[in-house]
This record gives sequence, structure tokens and C-alpha cells, in this order.
Amino acid sequence: MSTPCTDDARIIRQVIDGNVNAFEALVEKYQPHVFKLVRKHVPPQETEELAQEVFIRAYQGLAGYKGKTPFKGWLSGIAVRTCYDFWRKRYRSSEFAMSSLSKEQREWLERTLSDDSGQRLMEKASEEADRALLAYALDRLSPEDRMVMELVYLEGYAGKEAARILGWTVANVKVRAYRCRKKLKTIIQQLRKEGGP
Amino acid sequence: MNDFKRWIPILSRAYQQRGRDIPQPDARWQADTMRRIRQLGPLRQPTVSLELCNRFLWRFAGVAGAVACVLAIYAFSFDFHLEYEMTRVFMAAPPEFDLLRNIQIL
Repeated sequence: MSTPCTDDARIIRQVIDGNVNAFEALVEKYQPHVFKLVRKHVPPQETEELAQEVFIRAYQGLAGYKGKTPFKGWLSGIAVRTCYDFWRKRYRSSEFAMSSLSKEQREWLERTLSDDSGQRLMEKASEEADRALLAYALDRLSPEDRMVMELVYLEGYAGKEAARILGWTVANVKVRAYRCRKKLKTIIQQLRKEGGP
Repeated sequence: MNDFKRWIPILSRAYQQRGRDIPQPDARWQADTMRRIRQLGPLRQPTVSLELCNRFLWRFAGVAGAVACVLAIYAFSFDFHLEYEMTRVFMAAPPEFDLLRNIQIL
């Protein structure tokens, strides 16, 4: 009986040998994983396009895949780097508009942050407010800091693992994680000063 | 508890929610992805030597033509002229020419 990994290896070999259609099996197998990963990093309306881009990049780089890590992990790295490239392009374009918070969302945030017991954090807050806050904070970070923030603080990856996924050095990720933390503190302070909120 | 520590669980919760609202890829999406991949062509083309000749040899045709022209001009300007000169010397048959012929240089 063949394991999933050997199945992948067999399909990859076929694709490298020139059978383009064999790649469809990999697309079908890993599309839920790629969609989930991409969706976490980019706006919903961009998910389909970027997931497609991930598979195209994977196909183009398949000859360089040595099989040292599972294919799923290798593909995840491509997906994260594709999202990172998306944000780099987006930040460069003049169309990029930072998200803002509504008055209600600011009030909710202030109540949450001023609640010393932490009780409010445990409550099921409105999903909309949560998302607005996340978008607000991430939009004010650079693309690099955004990726580190998402992988290290929100996904919970270790520095070494985040570095492998992003293709950066561990030191670079650790320095960025530290800076990112400081920036986030500043963003929160500014938000509280601005709105009162 | 500082602001950062307070904020992380909120952001993390929102981040995890994002991962749950995944648009389901349909057959059209998969077909479109495969169409774009097929447009890229196979990763490794079969490398038959004759095919390599067909693909690369014609690129040297221009250079080969230019070299042939230069050689033709060179031949017409020098070689034929020298032959002509030799014939003329032979016809005149000066003594030194006979000497060279006798010692079998010519």
C-alpha cells in the first residue's frame, strides 16, 4: 500500500517527466489546504487568484523540489511567500487604503482594553469588530512585519519554523518579531489617543 | 497586563476566524488553474539530438553565411591571383625557376 508521500513523489516524478496533466491530482488534493492558508493572509476577494498563483509557482518550481520535506510543507512555504509578495505589491500601489475603525468598534476596543479583569477578552465579541481590529493593526505594519506578526504571534510558529517558511534567517525573523511587537504597542497607543477612541 | 498581551488574543481569534471562512473552490477554478499551467508547457522537454540540431543549428546560419562570403572574397583576392602569378612565371621560365624545379621544390 502506498503512503500519501510516496503518492506525491510518484505524481511529482510524472510531472517532471513532462506529464502536465498529472499535476491536476496535486491541485485537487492540496487546494483546501492552500485556500485555507491564503485566506488567512489576504483579503477574501483575492483568495482564488492567489491560490491559483501558488499552484502555478509550485509547478514552475517543481523541478527544484528535492523531497527533503513533505510536499505539503513545501507548498505552504510557496503559499506564504506568494501572500508576502501580494502585500509588497499592494503597499507599493497607490490604491492601497488602510482600513479604519468605526466609532462603535473603537468604543468596543477601549472597553476591552480598559477591562483589567480580562473578562471581556473571554467574551464572544462581535466577529466584525474582531476582524476590523485585525485589519486595522496589520495594515499599519510593513509587509515583512505583517508576515512575522501573522506567523509568529497569530499562528504561533517558532522563529525557526517561520524563518524556514519565509526563506529568511532566524535572526531576521527574531529581530522583526521584536520590532513588530513594539510597533503594535505604538499602534494601540495611537488608537487610544486618537479616538478617545 | 500590557496592551500587547491584551490585544494578541483578540487578533488571534479574528485571524483564526479568517481561516474558517474559506470560499470553496469550484470546478471552474480548478479547470482555469490547469489551463494556465498547461499553457506553461511540460517541465522537461525530451532532448533528442536531432531536435537539438533543429532548434539551435539554424541560429548559426547567418554567421556561417558571412564566414563563407569572407572566405570566398579572400580566395578570389589572393589564391587565384597567386596561381595566375605562378603561371606567368612558369611561362616566362626564368633560370631561377628551372633551378627550383630541378631541386624539386616546385
